[in-house]
Amino acid sequence: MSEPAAGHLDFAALAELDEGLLGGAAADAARAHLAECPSCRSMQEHLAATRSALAALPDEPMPTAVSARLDAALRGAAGTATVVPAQAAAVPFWRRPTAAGLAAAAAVAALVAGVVVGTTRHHDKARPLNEAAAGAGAVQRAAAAANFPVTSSGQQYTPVNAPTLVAGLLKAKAAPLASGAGGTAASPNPSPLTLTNTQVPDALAPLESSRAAILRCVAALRAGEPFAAPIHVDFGVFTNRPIHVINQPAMILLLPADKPTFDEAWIVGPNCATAPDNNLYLYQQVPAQP
Amino acid sequence: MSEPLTGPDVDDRALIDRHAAGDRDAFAELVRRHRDRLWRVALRTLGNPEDAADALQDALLSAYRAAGGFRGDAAVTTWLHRIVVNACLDVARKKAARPSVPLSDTPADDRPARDTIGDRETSGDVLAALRTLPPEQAAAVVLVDIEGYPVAEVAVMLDVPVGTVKSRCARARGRLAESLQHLAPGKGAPGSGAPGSGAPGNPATAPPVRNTGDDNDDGEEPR
Repeated sequence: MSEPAAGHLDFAALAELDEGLLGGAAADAARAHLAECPSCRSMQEHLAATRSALAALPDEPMPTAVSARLDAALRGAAGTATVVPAQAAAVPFWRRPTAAGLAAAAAVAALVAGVVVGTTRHHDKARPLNEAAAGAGAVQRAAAAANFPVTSSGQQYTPVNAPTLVAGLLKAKAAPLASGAGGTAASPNPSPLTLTNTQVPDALAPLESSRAAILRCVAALRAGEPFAAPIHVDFGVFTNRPIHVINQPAMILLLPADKPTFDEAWIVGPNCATAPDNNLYLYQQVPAQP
Repeated sequence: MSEPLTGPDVDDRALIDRHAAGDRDAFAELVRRHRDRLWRVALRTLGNPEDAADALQDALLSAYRAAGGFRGDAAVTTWLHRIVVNACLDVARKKAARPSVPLSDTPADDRPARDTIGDRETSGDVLAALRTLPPEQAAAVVLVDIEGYPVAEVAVMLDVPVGTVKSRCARARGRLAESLQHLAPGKGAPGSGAPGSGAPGNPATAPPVRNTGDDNDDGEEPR
């Protein structure tokens, strides 16, 4: 498109020439110029060398931490059948889903839900930290040790800010303000954190007021596997605009993982990622707290 | 589901079918097969591992849900790439829309993307230059020049005309060549890092600024 003065070519023009994007006359002029301009020819060679350097970039396998995180997220998806509301799931990556395609997707979701929910899943990672909590009494036993802090910040969580906000929760926890911790129930709107910016939706009240209900939720997320009590639980809202999830009631669970290096942040809806909404909004690994 | 999940006779399409039929291991196997190349695409399109992991997680969960509606008119890998690239561009747009969120802009510099001494400077510089491209251009050049997919397939992955893929690639290459001029023979000391001619930025000291703004060439016509 652009040939600078004196007929010299810039990298943009050279790249377009190479890709066959220059029109006939411009391409002819560019080639004629190249034939007698060593400086432009050397730029053309540099452009080719740049492409070679791209092709020669060293291989980079997925880090173990990332594949562990993805495995866990997919396990979560399997355990909860669908991960975001069906209307959001139907839209994003199919250009124009046909009616038949949507019906098929719905049928699959129903099938997966029927097959998967409530079953015990096995995966290859041991959970040494949590073994003591195994079995049918897991909820009770975790409850026995359940002094986990519960806050109602009302914060708006998003996939982008979640790590920061979760880290903030832990910092706040370290400060002496655990008003709800240790009691049998958090009051409906205690807001022990001062970062409140929205009301906690009423739909969360049953969870907010009962640690046992929270633990049942954790048990459901762990899908029958042994689990430990949460590190911290917060109530707020979740927003993920690209998939049209706006300010949905959300419980934020910071759970210990089976590895010492990271914890897991789960964000779920009021019915804890079970039917009918199946709202598991987010799963992320966050660096473990010292 | 008694057949083995791996092996040459179980192709990607069969894994999708098994997944759709409720086989819980099928999707994991599909991901296992392709995760390294999907990771490379996400990492190099977005330029840092945190964003790449976020995008991949979004993408794979979407793929998990959408696989039941997979249409056989594209290869499974093309479809997976398409979902991953879309998720990457979403993440990039989200970041651009929220410049105040203090996401990790620091980490990208010491990534283990380095092998031999001879290549180290070059690949570090190439990756740093890549991070300065608008995401759409980065995605195109990553898929075509780094991963080596045919332009026509990349057009399907990016859901744009072939001509747009070519022009995004050309723009990206032009910019990359420009930012890598200090490596060019004949500019300063040939082939040896060329400190002389005002090298455009040591990646360790100058955090790359992702250009997310005006020259986003969405919707441009192929020329």
